[in-house]
Amino acid sequence: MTEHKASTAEIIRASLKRRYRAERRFRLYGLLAVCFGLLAVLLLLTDIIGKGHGAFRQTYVQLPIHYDPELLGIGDATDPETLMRGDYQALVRQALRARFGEVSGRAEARELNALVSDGAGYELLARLRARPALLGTSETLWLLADDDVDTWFKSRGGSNEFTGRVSERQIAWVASLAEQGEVALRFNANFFTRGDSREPEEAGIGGAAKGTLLTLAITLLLAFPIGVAAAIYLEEFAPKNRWTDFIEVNINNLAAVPSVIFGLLGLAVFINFFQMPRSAPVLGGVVLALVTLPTVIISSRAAIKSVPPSIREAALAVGASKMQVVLSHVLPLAMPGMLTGAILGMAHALGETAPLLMIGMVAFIVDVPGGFTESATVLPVQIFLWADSPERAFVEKTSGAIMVLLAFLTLMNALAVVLRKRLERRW
Amino acid sequence: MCGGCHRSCARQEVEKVFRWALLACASIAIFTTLGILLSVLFEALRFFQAVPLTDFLFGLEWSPQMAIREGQVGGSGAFGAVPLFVGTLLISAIALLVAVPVGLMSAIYLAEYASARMRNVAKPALEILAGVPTVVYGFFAALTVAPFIRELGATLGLSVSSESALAAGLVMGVMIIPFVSSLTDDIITAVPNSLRDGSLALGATRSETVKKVIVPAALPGIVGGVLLAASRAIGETMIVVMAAGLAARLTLNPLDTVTTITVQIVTLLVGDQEFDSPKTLAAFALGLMLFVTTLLLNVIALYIVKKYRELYD
Amino acid sequence: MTTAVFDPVPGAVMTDAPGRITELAELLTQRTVGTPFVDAPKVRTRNVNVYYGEKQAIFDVGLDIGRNQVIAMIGPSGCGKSTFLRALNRMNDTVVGCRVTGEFLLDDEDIYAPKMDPVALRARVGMVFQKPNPFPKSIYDNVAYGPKLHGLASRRIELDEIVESSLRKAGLWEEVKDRLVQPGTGLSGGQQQRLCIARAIAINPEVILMDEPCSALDPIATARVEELIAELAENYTIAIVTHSMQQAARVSHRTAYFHLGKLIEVNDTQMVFTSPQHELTEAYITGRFG
Repeated sequence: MTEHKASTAEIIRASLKRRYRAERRFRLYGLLAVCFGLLAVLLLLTDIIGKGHGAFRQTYVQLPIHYDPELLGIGDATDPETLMRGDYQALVRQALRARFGEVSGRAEARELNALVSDGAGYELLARLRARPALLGTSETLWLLADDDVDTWFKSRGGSNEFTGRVSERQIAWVASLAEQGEVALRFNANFFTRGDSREPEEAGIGGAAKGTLLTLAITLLLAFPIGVAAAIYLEEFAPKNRWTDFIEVNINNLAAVPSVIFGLLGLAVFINFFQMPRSAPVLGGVVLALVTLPTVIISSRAAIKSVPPSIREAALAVGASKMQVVLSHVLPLAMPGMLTGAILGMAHALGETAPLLMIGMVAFIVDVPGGFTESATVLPVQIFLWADSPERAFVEKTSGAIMVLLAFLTLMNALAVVLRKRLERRW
Repeated sequence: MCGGCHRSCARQEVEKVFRWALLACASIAIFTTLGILLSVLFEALRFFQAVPLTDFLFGLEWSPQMAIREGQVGGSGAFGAVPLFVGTLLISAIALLVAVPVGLMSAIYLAEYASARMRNVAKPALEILAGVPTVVYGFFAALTVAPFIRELGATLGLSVSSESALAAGLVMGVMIIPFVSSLTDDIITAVPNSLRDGSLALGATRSETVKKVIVPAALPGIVGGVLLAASRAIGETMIVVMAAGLAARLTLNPLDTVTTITVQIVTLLVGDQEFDSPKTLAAFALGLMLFVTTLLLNVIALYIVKKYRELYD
Repeated sequence: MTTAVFDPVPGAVMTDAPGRITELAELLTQRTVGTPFVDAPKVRTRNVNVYYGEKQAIFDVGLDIGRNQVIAMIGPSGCGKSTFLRALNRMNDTVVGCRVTGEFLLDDEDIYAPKMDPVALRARVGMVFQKPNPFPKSIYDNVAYGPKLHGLASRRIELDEIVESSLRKAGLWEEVKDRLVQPGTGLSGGQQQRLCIARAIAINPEVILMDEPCSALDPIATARVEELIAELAENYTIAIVTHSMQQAARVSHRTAYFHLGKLIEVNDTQMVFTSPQHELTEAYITGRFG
C-alpha cells in the first residue's frame, strides 16, 4: 500500500513540470488576448487622432484686400441684390498679384490663384454685407487657403511630407509668405458651423451635427416614452400568457436584427407606403427609434426590476390603485435607470449609419437643415461620405469628424455612468 | 355610496385605458417584426416573379448591372447570389476566427487570473471597442488596415487586393471581441464556484480547471454566444461597405476581394432608381435572406443561452 | 471591554445567566484542554492563525491528526472549523485576502513551504464538500478526472480499473455500473456525494478532508455515507467537519471542539461526549448553543 502511494506521488511530481508549463502557456495566451484587444483600442484611437487632430486648424493666408468698386462691378454696397453679383474672387486675384508681382502665362496665374480657396470670395461678400462702408477701402485679412496648400503646409517639414498637387512654384510662394508670417494655421471655426462642401477646406460638420440633433430628437421623443411604457407593461401588468411571451421573444430578437434591415423597413413602409419625405430627419428619427427601442425597453425593465417590491406593496396596502402605484412610486424610483438606458440607446442611435443610407440621408447637402422635414444628413453618414471622397484633405476632415463623434459618445456614456452610480447609491 | 361608485368606476375606466395604451406600446415590437417581415417578403416575392428562386439561390454569377439593360430584365444568371453568400461567410469566418479566441481567452484571463486592479482597467478599456460606431471601423479598415495588409503582402511577395476580405474580416473581428468576451464573462461567472473548488481540490491547476471543467460546463452558453456573434458578423454593414469590394467573385481566398449581402443591399438601394426594377427588388430578396438567417441564428442562440441559464439557476 | 473582545456571533452566547458572559471570555483564553497531540501524527499543526483581510478567523490552534484515524471537528456555526479544514490542503489559497500562519506538517513535510506544490499537495490531501459537486460529465469521467489529470493510468484498462475500484470503495459500483456513461449530475443527492468521494479516492490520497459531507443529504443517504467513512478509515486518514454531534460520535475516533476560532477541547470521541472536560464543550454537547 505505502509503496503504491509513493509511486503515485512520484508520478504526480514527475508530471508537474509539464503541467505548469501548460499552465504558464495558457496564462500567456490569455494575457496576449487581453493585450491584443487593448492594442486594437490604442491603435484605433491613435490612428484616428493622428489623422484627425489637424482638422481643427486650417491654413490661412494674410492678404491686403482692396474693395475696388470697379473690379467688383458694384456701385452701391447697401443693396443686397447688387452685392450678390460682385466678382469677389477677382479681389483675391488682384491681392495675390499685388503680393507676388505679375506672373507670366495663364498656367502660372492659375497656380497663383489656386493658393487661396474659392470660398474666400464668400467671406469678402459677407464682410461687405455687414459693413457696406468698406467699399472702396482696404483692409488686411486672413483668407482661407486651398486644401492642397493646407495639406502640404500641415505636413511640411515632417517625415512624410505630402506635396500632392502642390507645384514647386506654389511651394516657393507659400514659403515666402511664411517668412513674413503671412501664412498660419488658425482655429477652424468653419469645421463646426458649415455644411458639406466639395472643397475640403470649406466643408464642415455643422450641417450633419444639426441633422443628427434633429434626428435624435425624434428618436428620443419616440423611443423613450414607448420603451418605458412597454417596460412598465411587461414588468407590472403583463399576464403570463402567450402574447406576453411572444412580445418578449420579439424584443430580444429585434435587438439582434441587423440594423440595415431596419433601413429596408423604412424604405418599403415609411417612404413607399406612408409617403414620408426621403432624407428627412423625421424619417431617420422614426427608423432609429425602432432600432433603439429594444435597448431602451430592456434597460427600462432592468430599472423597474430594481425597485424593491416592498415599495409597491406599501403603496397598494394604503389603497393606491395599480396605476397610481406605478406612476407615483415605481416610475420616479426607476427613472435614473431608465434615463441611463435612454442615453445608451441614444448613443447607439448616434453611431448608427447603415439604415440611414437606405432612406436617402446619404445625399450631398450643403445647407444646414432648418427643420424636421428638410433634407439632412447625420454625423456618421457624413463620415461615410467623406471617407469615400478622393481628396487627400478629406481624410483629415473625416478623422476630425470621427473625433467629434467619439467625443459625443464618450460624453453620453460618461453621463450614463454617473447616473448609474447615483442609482446604485440609493439602495 | 353612489358617488363613491361613480368615482371608482371612472377610475377603473382610466386604469383600463392606461393598461391598453401600455399594451399597445409593448406590442410595437411585434408590429416592427411583422412590418420587416411583410415589407421584405412582399418586395422579395415581386423579385422572384422576375427571377426564379432557384436561380437566385444557386446561381453562381451576380451582376445586377447587366440586368437593367433594356430587354434583359431578369436576365438569366445575373442574380445568382452564391458569390454573395460565400463572400459573407468568408468575411464572417475571418471575423469569428479573430473574435472568438481573443474574446474567449481575454474573458477567461480577466475572470480567472487578472488582479482586481487590472480587471477594473482592462474591462472598460475593451468595452470601448463595443462603443465605437461601425462607420469608424469601416474608415479604419479601408484607410489603415487594408493598405497595411496590402503592403505587408507585397513585401512577402503576395498579391493582395486593396479591398481584401482579410482587412474587412480582421477589423470586424476586433469589433466583435467585446461582444464575445462580455457574453463569455457572464457565462463563466454563472458556473458555480463549487465546481471550481471540486477541481482544484483534486489537484488540478487553474488552467486544467478552466479547460476541463469550466469551459465544458459553460459550453452551451459559449456556443450560444458564438452564434450571436456570427449573426452580428453576417449582418454587419458599414465595415464591409467601406472596406470590402463590390465585385462578386466566387473565391475563398482571403487576400482577394469579395462582396457581401449587406454591401449589395446598400449598393443597390443607395441613389435614385426605379423602385420596380429587379435591381432594386433584388435588395429586398437579399434582405429577406439576411433577416431569415440572422433570425434563425438569434432564436437558436437565445434558446441555448436561456436553457443554459436555467441549468445553473 | 469584555464585549469588545467578544464579538456577539449569533448562537455563540450562552443562553442562561447574562453574568456568565464574562466567565466565557475567561474560558476562551485558556489553553486547549484534553489531548490535542498524538504520537507520529499524519498531520501536525501548531500555532495556526488564519485571517480574512483584517478579521481573524482562527486563533492559535494546535492539533494533530492521527494516522488512519477519523477526527471530527464540531462546534457552533462560524467557529472556524471549516476554515481550519480548508487550510490543511491550501484551498484557502484560492480565497482573496486570506492569510494563513503557523506550522503545518504532512508526514514531516511543511504544507506551506515554498517548495511544496499546492497541486501535488491536493493530490495527497483530498477533499469532499458540503454540497455534492459532481462535474457535468459522465459518472465515469467524474471518477477518471483526477487520475487522468495526474497521469496515473497509462492505459485505458488501468483507468477502468481505477474507476471501478474507486466506485466499489465508495459503495456506488453496484448502483451505477450499468450507466457509467450517464451524467453524474443525474444521480440522487446521496449518490452524488458518494460519487464525489469516489472521485476523491481515485487519486489515492493520504488524507481526506470532509466538509459537512452529509448536511445536504437525507437520513438514509447520510447513513450510507457514514458507513463508508468508517470503511475508508482503514486505509485513509480522515478529518470531518460536522454539524451533527451524533455523526461525530458515530464515525470518529477523536473529536475536536472549536469555538469562536479557538480550539477548546480535543479528546477521544467517547470521552468528549461522555465526560467533557471543558465547560464550553459541555454546554455545546448538551445543546445549550444553537
